[in-house]
Amino acid sequence: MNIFLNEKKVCAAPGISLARFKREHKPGADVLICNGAPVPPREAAKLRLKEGDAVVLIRRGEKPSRSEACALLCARHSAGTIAKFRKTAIGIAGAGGLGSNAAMALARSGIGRLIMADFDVVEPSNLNRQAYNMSQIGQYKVDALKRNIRQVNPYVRVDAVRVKLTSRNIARVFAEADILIEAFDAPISKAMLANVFCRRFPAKPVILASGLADCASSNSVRTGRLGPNVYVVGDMRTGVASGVGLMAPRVGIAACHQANLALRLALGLEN
Amino acid sequence: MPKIHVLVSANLKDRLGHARFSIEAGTALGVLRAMADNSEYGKIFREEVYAPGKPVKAYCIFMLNGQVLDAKSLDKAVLRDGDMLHIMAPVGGG
Repeated sequence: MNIFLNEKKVCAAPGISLARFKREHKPGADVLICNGAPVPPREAAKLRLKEGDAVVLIRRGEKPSRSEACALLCARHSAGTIAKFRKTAIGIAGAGGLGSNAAMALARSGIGRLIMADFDVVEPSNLNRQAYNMSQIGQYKVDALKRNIRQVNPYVRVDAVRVKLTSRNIARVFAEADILIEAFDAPISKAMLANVFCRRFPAKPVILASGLADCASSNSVRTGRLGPNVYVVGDMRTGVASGVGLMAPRVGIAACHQANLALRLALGLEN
Repeated sequence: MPKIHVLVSANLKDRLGHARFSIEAGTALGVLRAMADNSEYGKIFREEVYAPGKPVKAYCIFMLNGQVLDAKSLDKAVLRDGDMLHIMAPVGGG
């Protein structure tokens, strides 16, 4: 019979157990996945494979291939979920505290494509809340972020666009995005993005952010809906001001609200 | 004149004293003019959102029944009774 091992068709004896199949094809494997579900090694002897089963065998400590990485994500979230994520392109306008953290969360989740745009470079003052490190100071944020994403999920398509976003180029830069995350700092930029993108692509969801500074209650950061395709994350009040700065936890919470909403939209859970 | 429901974002609510307003006006710009003229909160509205004769504040987002309105076409948006105009002024940080 035929079994799909790491997406490649191989012949196997009818009724073979997963344990024996593993011994024949990858004896050192200790992560076993059958048809998208993880199988504990102690149960592998009892599991009889059937024609057309999809098996993934991974050895711990080994860098997984694209198909193995995908299988690992599918085992956690189901193949249907990952298939929807892989088809989704998410635009991120700004690669600061919101954008960098949202991008990392989406990459870890297995999103298919990220279109990230920012003109700035990593500064020492960014490291208190943004997903960069000391060695990346001076690098363009989108390039540094692309490298960081590669470290956790090399199979995401990343478009790193070094550009200052304006009302003239936003629609072009994010034309292929299914969902757009606004991750700017300045209120005027946030409004500009909403005004331009929502009118140009009224059917595409936009996730704005407003009110994530300081260390007010985590629970005051909320996801709200302003219109059929316009969402806003934050407490809507706490902006950056003299003595009121941005801190990693609350910025990260807001970024993860944005990322989570983007995933929910990709799955069709927000209609 | 149609009666319009106006909803403002939390930071504007903190300054204006109310989250919801009921305004009679024929266009979105007419709503803003009426709010700017209000004796209770008009002065703050003129500082935060719109003062007649000046452009609306560039950091504001206006949404009519869930659709974003271009600030330049606020005077063209003809309103009907029961319409909802949302005024959002995002705060900084990202």
